[in-house]
Amino acid sequence: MSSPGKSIVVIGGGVSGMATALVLAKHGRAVCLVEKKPKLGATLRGFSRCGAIFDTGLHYAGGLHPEGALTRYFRLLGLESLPLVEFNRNDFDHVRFIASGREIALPVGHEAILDTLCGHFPADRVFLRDYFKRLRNSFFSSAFLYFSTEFRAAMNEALHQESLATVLAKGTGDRCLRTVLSIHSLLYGVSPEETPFIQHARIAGSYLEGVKTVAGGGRVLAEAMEAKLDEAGVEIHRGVAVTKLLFAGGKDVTEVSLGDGRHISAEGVVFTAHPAFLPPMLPDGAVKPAFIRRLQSLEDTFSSYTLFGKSDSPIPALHGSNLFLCLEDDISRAFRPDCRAECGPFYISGSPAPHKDTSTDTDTAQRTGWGLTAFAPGNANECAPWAASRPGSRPDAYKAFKTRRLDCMRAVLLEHCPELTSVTFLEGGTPLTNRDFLDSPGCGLYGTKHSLKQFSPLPATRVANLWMAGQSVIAPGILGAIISAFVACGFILGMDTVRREIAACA
Amino acid sequence: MTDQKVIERANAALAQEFELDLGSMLPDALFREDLGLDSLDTVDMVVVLEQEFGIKIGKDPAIASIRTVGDMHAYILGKKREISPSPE
Repeated sequence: MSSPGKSIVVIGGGVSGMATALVLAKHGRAVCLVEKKPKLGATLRGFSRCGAIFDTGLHYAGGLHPEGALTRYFRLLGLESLPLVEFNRNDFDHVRFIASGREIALPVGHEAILDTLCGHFPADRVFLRDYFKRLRNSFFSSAFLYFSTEFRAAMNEALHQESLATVLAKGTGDRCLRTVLSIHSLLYGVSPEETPFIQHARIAGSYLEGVKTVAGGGRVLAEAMEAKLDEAGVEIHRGVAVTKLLFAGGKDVTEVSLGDGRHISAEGVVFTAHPAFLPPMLPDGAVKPAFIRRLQSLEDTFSSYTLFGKSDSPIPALHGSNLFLCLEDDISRAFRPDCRAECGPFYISGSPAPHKDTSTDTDTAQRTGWGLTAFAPGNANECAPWAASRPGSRPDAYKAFKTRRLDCMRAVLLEHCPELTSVTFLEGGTPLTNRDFLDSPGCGLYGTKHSLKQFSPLPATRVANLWMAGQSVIAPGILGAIISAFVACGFILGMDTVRREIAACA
Repeated sequence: MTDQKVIERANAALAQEFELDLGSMLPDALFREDLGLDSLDTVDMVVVLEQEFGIKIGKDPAIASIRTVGDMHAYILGKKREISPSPE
């Protein structure tokens, strides 16, 4: 039960913060959601430019088929009526290899994808059957993705894991096949050498079950969540940052200070922003120095250079399909520090599909072009000389550097993707853009790495009424962020209560 | 770096980061029962030792068997021998 006059304060109004606030409010808790940006779900919303829509948080999602995990979580959050668009069942991800000239269209469904890959790589049939069996088993072993699995705390799986690269190297010598099987590592930003196979299986496995997105893109999802928060009576503070957690001399958080001088009396706090932002909020002595040191030492997922382009007509290759362009057959290179943006691999995604009812959707109704976003791995260190600069006041040397990088990237894309000849490139971003736009101190696209080389933060902390959620805690992406919210709420409301509720929402 | 120096540095780093009494860090001392650290602290301990000695431990399954301060010394000495020592 809530304490009179006190709220659970949720720090960060992204997907995980909004989901956390919704679940707690639904259980009758008084909830305060604090977001330092002027709008909730800033990353999710993306932006419009020259009549085209660009998504920055949601490009496509797995687990949105009728029995899928994300479908169930959306239902629990009251988002079941969101309009969805299905990706191309025969070619939701298209992988193009320049060095070997291969074109591989990945279909939806484990069996279909297995058949396709056996056709392309007949010598690896036995390995592929074994690999997909293992992938399915790992996927179904998660109690948060497959709901009849008995619940276990995620932390029990921390040790004794093989990397994705090890599993692939043991199974096949074909670098091209290894790259196809690890192509989705670009969607969570950790190299196959560092990624625990089980983590990859749970992310890639969700795509293989069915691929959809929200009609209208991330903005529609953000607005739907915001409307639900209002309905649920969540008190929302936008455009103001939390500066300090106060402990009133005890071991628990009692109050939260805001940047505008206000204070919120706190029954508990769920922190959902990047983990590096938590230590400065904690007063000396609140936790042991070792915990602070660990949060500060977490490495971010990889960063990117990004190009935003517009075409006057839809680009068929990007309609219900994503294009992965690999100049070489070996994906591991993408994650090395010396990899340049023009070396790729590139992930290219089209604008969000519009609502059917455009009369209620002004942005879509006013759309005069079709957008695309192209990402290439980016090394944050390249931008180090300008790390002190902020958007709107970047030095000329940085601007020249950015133009050079993006020009090279654009030239490579146009050379190898004839589909893009009608595209006008409007804008671009560097790792520094990611840092400032995504509030990601290490410039990472998906929070901190879930890696064999570091321990991700856990939902429970050493402060009894302070919990953590967000992409860095359980898994990245929309699904990972939402699962982390439910797990954090499980610590507050009782894990059995939350699990029962998820299980009952079939 | 001598083994004794490694042990002293490991003890000093852990004492500071976990706010422990340096005198309590005897080789037979159990992390859980004697020093009050638990499995969550083990994760933080990995980072302290990695940064102190400039080594990578990550999710090494061997860390699960560290129970005493002496186990930790043996582990870190083994790790230091595995790799070339960082320049002093």
